[in-house]
Amino acid sequence: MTRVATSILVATTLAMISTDTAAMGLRSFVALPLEKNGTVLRLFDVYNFDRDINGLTTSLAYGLSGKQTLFLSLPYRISPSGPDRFGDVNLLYRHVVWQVDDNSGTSRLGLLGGVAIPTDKRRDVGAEVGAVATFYHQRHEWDLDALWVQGLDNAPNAARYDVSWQYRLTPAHYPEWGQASEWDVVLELNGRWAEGGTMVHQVTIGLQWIHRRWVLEGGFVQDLNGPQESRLLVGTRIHF
Amino acid sequence: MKVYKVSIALAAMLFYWVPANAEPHEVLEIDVAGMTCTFCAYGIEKNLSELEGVDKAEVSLELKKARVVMRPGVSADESRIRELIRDGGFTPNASSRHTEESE
Repeated sequence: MTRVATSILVATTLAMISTDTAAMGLRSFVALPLEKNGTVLRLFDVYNFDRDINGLTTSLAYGLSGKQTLFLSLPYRISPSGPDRFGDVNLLYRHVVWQVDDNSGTSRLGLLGGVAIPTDKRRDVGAEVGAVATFYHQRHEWDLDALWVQGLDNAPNAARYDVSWQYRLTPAHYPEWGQASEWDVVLELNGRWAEGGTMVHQVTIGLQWIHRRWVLEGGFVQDLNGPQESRLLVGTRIHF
Repeated sequence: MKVYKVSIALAAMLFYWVPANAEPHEVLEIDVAGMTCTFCAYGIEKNLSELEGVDKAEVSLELKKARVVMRPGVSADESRIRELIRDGGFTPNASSRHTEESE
């Protein structure tokens, strides 16, 4: 029974990680503005020091229009103490329902809906619903997102939230024309919950090196309660 | 003989220089609200650059503008440019047109 519970927890965790795809927060990929027909590929690795597990997630974002984006992600677990395997395929749709742009930034609210499709017959499908809000003002960006995963059949329910603050360290001012690379510092409060457990709150701190077509990013995650585990994050995004 | 060679060289320089300046480029500058980071603005630059008749397109995160330089003799389709900016997830505002000589 413990093994079943652990499997469910790990599968859910993988499914949750897989939705980590959009703005430019570290743990969440669903705030990223993306142009129509634009594609962003994200490769993201999370190394859990305490369990010696790597969770490598490949994500794709595709712009259906200026307000509609599809996110697809597939996590893969690599562990020396157990079998390597795929997690659930995660397909998420975002529709921006409110947007106010001005010269200092933007404020947006998007609704999320999707499905977690298991790659293993022993797991069941989960339906996802949530919201993401982005506030960008001068050198500051705040992203807030929350997602509820309704387990169907025997799949457990789950939930997550991310509160992300990003600050552009350099440049203080962009060049008049042409684009400079930038360094952003990221500070986040995250929460992960799976049915049968308690909400594990986490703090994440990281850095992003942002270029026109690619981003390199990394950070450190510490559980504030529950298992008290620590994780290292390393990732890249490429804009096609 | 030396004067003859210099004359040919001058004629060649004029041949290349004059046509480039004969037809100025139309430039459309348009204010774009909501642009935030370099990575996010790349999509606008890419889509505007691929528009037919465009010689060069760039965005300024500092000025919050997009600048579209047309090929000589081609006029900018402003409604299509505005549509591409909206497709990029941003808001087009006031615009201005002027002409520039080739460098």
